[in-house]
Amino acid sequence: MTAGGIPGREREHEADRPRVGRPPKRAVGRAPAGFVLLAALAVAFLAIPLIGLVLRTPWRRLPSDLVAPGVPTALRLSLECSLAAVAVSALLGIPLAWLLARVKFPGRNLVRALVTLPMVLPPVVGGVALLLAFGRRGLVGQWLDRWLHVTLPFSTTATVMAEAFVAMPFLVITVEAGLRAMDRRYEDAAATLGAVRWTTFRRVTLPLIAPSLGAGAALCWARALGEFGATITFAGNLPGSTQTMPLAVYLALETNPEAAIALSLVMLILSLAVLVALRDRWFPTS
Amino acid sequence: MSLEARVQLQKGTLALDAELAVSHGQVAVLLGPNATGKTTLLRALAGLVPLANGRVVLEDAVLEDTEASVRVPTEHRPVGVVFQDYLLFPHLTVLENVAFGLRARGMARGKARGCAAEWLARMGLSAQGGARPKALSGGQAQRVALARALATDPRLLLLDEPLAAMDAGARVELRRDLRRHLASYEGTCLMVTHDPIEALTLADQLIVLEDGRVTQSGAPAHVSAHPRSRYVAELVGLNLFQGRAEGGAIELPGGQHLVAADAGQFSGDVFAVVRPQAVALHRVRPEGSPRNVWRGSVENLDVAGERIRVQVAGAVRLIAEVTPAAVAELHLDDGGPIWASVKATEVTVYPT
Repeated sequence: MTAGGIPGREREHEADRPRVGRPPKRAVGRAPAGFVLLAALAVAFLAIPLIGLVLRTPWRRLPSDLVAPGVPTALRLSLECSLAAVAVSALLGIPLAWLLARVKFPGRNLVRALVTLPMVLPPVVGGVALLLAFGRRGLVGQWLDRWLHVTLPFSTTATVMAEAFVAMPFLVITVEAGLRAMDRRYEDAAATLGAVRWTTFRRVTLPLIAPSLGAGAALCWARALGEFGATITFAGNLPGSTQTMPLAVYLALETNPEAAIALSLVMLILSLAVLVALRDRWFPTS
Repeated sequence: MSLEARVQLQKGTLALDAELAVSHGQVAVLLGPNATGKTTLLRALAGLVPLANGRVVLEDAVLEDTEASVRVPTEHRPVGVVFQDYLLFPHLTVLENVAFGLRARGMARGKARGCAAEWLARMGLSAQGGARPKALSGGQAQRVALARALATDPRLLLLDEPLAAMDAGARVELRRDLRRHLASYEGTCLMVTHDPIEALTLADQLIVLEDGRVTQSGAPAHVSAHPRSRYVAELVGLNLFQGRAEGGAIELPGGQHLVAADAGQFSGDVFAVVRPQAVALHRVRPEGSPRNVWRGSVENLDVAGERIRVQVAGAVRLIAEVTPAAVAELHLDDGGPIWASVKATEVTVYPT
């Protein structure tokens, strides 16, 4: 990959090169005991809950828990909504990333900050904001309601919107970085061959940033799948139309803890799958 | 003229202000030191960099004219480009790379692939059609880049240092290959290089670009015999002088005089060249026929084949080429004063 522009791979390439001229490796000194202790505590703190989840999983009942009433529905709804959120994020986010990476326009940094904000905003605040904007009396919602008779809150559409709101920034930021790192002369080459900008984008730019796009989409999807706060605030918790997996887990914890554990395990496995898919990017072989 | 261009633009610290004209079907080579705007000029002709001021006309079609606000975008110019590191699309196969331009111009997939396959066959690369560019050798990649650029049937072919990425051993053969392919191309060709051998062997017309300006242009033999800048003079290994011709002698900027047999035909500003082999060195001031004798000291000694190139510093700086025996006999490296002499008949004079 010469132009994919994914930092991870580039580092990998560097590692392939002969290590001429590098300073000799320093002998690993003895680690300070205090550090080792605290680091071990950190690992334990992160790992024990997950181990607990796996150990407490009622394996024998798992098959029946996974098909218990409401569970397959929540699972299906979660997958559908999160994939729809990724699709919306890609459709709107890729052009946005392109503009941020390629066009110098006034207020670009402001736009970038605005786009990044949902990443740090408490999701429940995002949900409140969505409600105030798209609710029946909201800034935009009242007009949608009056003119188009469209009511967004507490619908599946609202679930997708809530998920896209919190997840899109991950895709935008990752794709923008990919576009910046890519060798733009490939686009020049395409233009000299007679390709109009759309053809160039479709046949050269997108394939060259495919690794970044894949990583961005995976991050976006993982975030959308786990979305809780904004969803419950803006879309509510209606089984079958807005109750996604995280909501179902939370609810099941009170009535049917075993089912909650089973559902959590499914989410853990999905998260691990994302991690494995992105391992090249985050853990370049060093 | 097939290509006529006047290109003015500013890029960083480089102020490009070049005018060039190339006849139909000719190979023009743009030669110049590094970072003098050669690549930028090429990119401007391809429409990848907008002109601040100027005009580009190709076969009577105006591609760009800042005064008339005409600017044909890159994708609509009948111009093919072979980029310096070829820029073959890494995600496409070799065949798809060559077919790219045809597809982009609306040819059906099957037809474009057939056409691309023909081009690969012509380049002797039929076996590589399904490979990724990464799997190609440098020479193969160059031919694919050439095939990709030529497949769209451009009227102007631009090549940016097409041989720079090659190792020296492969260059001779690749140069021969390239000349063959360029000869069978009927459009106009402009190639950038900083390698004088490439320039002299491939060019019908040589255009020298220095500091964003064309300093010299013409047939390679004429340019190399009549350098008009220190860069070209050094390239072809001649001593170049510039001064005013008056009464059979040339007055140099330092007040020295250069006597030339044919200086009488000129008056006013002239160039004069002297071959290094025609410069004689002496330990004592020579008596006799040489009309030009200057005192100086040896600044540097270089081996050049079986001869030694001697850089002489003094009121007049010049390079002499002498035999190793002469270096030893005259003890040229002892730092003492020497005398350089040039016969008036060895000085070639031409107007600026």
